[in-house]
Amino acid sequence: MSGRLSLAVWAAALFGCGTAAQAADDDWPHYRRDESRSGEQRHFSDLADPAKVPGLAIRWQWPPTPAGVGGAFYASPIVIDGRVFIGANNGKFYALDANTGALIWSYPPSPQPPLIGSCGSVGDVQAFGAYGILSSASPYKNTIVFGAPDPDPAVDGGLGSARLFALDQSTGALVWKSDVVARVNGCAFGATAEQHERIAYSSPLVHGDRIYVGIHDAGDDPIQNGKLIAIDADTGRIRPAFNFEATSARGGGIWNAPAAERDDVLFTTGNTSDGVVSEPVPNHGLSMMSVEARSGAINWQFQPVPFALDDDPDWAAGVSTERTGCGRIAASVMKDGWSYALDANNGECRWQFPATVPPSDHCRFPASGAHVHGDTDYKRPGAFWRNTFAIVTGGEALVAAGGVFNGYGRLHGLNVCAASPSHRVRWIADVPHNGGGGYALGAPTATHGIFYITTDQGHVVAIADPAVSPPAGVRCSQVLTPVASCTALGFSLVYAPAVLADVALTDGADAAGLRNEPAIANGRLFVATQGGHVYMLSP
Amino acid sequence: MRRLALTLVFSLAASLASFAQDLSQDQDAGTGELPPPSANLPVFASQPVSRPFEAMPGQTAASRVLFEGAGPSNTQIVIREILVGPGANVRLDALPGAGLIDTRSGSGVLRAGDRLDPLHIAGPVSVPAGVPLELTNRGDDSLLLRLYLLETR
Repeated sequence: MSGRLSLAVWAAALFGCGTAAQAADDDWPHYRRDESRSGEQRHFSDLADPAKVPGLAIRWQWPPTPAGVGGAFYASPIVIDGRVFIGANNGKFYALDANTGALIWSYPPSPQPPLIGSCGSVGDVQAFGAYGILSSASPYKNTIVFGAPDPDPAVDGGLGSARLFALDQSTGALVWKSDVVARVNGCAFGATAEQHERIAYSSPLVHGDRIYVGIHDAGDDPIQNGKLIAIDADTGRIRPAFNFEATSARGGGIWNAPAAERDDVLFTTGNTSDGVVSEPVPNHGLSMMSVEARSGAINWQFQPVPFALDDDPDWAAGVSTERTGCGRIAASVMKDGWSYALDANNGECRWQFPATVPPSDHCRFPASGAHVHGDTDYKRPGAFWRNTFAIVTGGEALVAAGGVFNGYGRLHGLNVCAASPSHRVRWIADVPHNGGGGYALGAPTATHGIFYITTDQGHVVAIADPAVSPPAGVRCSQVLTPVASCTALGFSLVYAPAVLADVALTDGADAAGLRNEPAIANGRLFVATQGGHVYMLSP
Repeated sequence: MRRLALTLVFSLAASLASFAQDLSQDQDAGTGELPPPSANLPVFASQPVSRPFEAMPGQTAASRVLFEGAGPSNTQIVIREILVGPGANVRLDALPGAGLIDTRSGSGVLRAGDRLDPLHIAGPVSVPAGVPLELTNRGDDSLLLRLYLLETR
């Protein structure tokens, strides 16, 4: 038994304060593991031991048959108290035994229909209402909470208006359905008179006795006004005292999982210019935001790309926060490939990667800027490990012609606290993939310097920071430049880290869906694929 | 009772020791920057990249051709990117046709014959044909330029 777990057991025994359904230190109870969305498992296990990781292998697969669940997993498992919880785009939510992979319950129970609206094709991730469950769940007390469209014809005709569902963790019984939080009242593409709101990719944030979820659109047909909704975690009722809307009109969708930082909620927002001629006022689009958890009042806003340059570089990846050696940091990447690290307390930009605008511009591109900020596919959040932040990002070649594509299929390890931009890159890992562009890799997770990531080849890859395992070699921090001329041209020689394990999942299906991440819990790795399977792996 | 108490104390001490070991397992790893890579490390064979830069012989610069093809009215269009190292001074042969230089990152100066032009982002500079060119990177970071060249065939 590990130290931290045994201390928890001691505390429970001495003070009688433990409950079976409470998440333990080594569980993975949230998307990105915790409310701060760090992506980091701090509990030490065999998955953090470079000598044992090469033995990583599949221990069970669910369903055990090749067919899968009849749907795809774009969400990721969460793991609490020996149970794995996950929803699929077939509108079904599942609880599995973490030890065996046996199904414990599923929701909705037969003969109730799956959680799929009638607007669009079943399971289409871009459907207005038929997308099913695309994001990870979160726990609250003894319930498990996730978002999905409601097929009930009494709710906007069953087109796919969405709400949160709270189920009993043990039995799968419905505890509450929230008020409707995302409205779909028509199915005509581009119709501005209809509402096409979704909560598809926004994993709910449980923080205190509230649950926060973001509202976005489907394929910008058309863009919807981004909103953050607060729900009472005990009743499912909307808390009217909380209000955040990204604009007064249209745009600024919240595509990601909000993060909590003390009494604040942090998130990122999408574009506001698609089909919109003049800039909305206010314009909280293309921003990293911090709002007050009780009211939604804005603490700070960071908008690096102005409306004039908005060619749809949505901020689709959410915020990851971490207490690093240089303070509390909030970090993320925009779709255009530029990553940012901010002071989580005040939104001051600590760095931009690659460092492109002069320091005097505080990481904000001037409206006359020469760079392209388009609809490319840097959409996954990063993972912290102490002062290292690993993320799929554009990299130093981003400003070169076609350079935006050179970050795909690569994981950058960045020195969060480096004073000089020339020391920002710590390592760059090339991860084998199918050439799926920005959809080649899922979101990384970390434990004690070992980073796990899933791929569009249906692999799980383990990469070791050179501080914990010898590297594979040396390379230039700008991937288009040969090593021999790297430093003379103003770049840095950096490490190519070692790949400790590369395991092919047996269904061979894409495991790099938009919200796919390897969950690290109790010395085991839990991943899900678009082939409709959940896997448990361990060394 | 005494035995039970001793067992509890011993177990608690063991738990605390294990907890401390957990914390100290790799306490310093990942907090600082890594030492510079050793010269003995093998050069990593990365996944292939599209059109990598190639060193310009004898100069602290590298370049690559992005496009080369026929233009209108018997002209040839060439688009190149040139990377100039920090503080470096790079000489280019006179261009066979008129050109345009667009700065993508960094800042510097272009000398075209007797003419001096600053190079900075969002400040494209026209380049005459037939005069020697000199590019100077005056910054601490690399200077990345895109050269659009139109020559008569």
